[in-house]
Amino acid sequence: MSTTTIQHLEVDKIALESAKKYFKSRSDVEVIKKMVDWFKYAEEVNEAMEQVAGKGKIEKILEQQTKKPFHLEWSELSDNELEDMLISFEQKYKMDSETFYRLYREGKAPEDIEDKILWGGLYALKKEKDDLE
Amino acid sequence: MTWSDYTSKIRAIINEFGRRGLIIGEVPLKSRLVKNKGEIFTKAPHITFQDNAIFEFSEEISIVSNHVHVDAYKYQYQRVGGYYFRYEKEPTEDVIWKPPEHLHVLLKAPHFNSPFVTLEQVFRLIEVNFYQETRRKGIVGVKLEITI
Repeated sequence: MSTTTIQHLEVDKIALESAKKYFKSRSDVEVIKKMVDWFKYAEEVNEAMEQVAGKGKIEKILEQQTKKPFHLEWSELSDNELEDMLISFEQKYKMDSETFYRLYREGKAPEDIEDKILWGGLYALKKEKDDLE
Repeated sequence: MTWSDYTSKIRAIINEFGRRGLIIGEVPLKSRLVKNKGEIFTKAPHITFQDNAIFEFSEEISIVSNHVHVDAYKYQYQRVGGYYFRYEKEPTEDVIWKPPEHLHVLLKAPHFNSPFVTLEQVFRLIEVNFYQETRRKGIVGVKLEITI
């Protein structure tokens, strides 16, 4: 899928072109410019464009052309992946897993560790695995 | 319920929302069971809703006598405009400042006390509030400028 980045959001180029074609008259150029600017807030795009195009029409265009097919990719976490994730957390938060886990279990994990629940869970798995071996 | 049953249930919930078009794109889901400890979680880019809102979750599970106990969880929903909420269950040393089951809205604090919630309940809450035409109007598109 061909995409372009506007602000922080990737938008399907085809959808953009399609939306632009929809507004054919020159008087709507300003609307298009505004629309592109508004793409950074996806939920506002439909509302803005619908004011010109009519309710539901733009939503349908974008829905048909920007929709990426859903696919659930489920797999078991391998030993290597487990180790890699623990190392990446240690590097990201500059703390070894054992120290973090002790703090986490005591309810004292630093609040700025966004991944604390996953890190704690993965380290608990590693401990179980190590006990088995 | 066995671990296999539980992971099947989680996948069925995600698949249901995907089939109905609420979730788009690839959802990388990982799980692992070692003895009676399990973990199930999404990897980046996590779960993408139809309007590019992102949902991230992880659950730490214990299986005791064929019963599933969710020991810890994180369910975070974040919209493109920056709004987010996050349900969490985690160990705590101060149950007033941070109850074990709590909710964040927009900020890291406070930790609002919350009932125990499940992935399915959070998904239903998201659907009703942000994707149901009649109800989303009261929330989606609202701009906030707050100083605390």
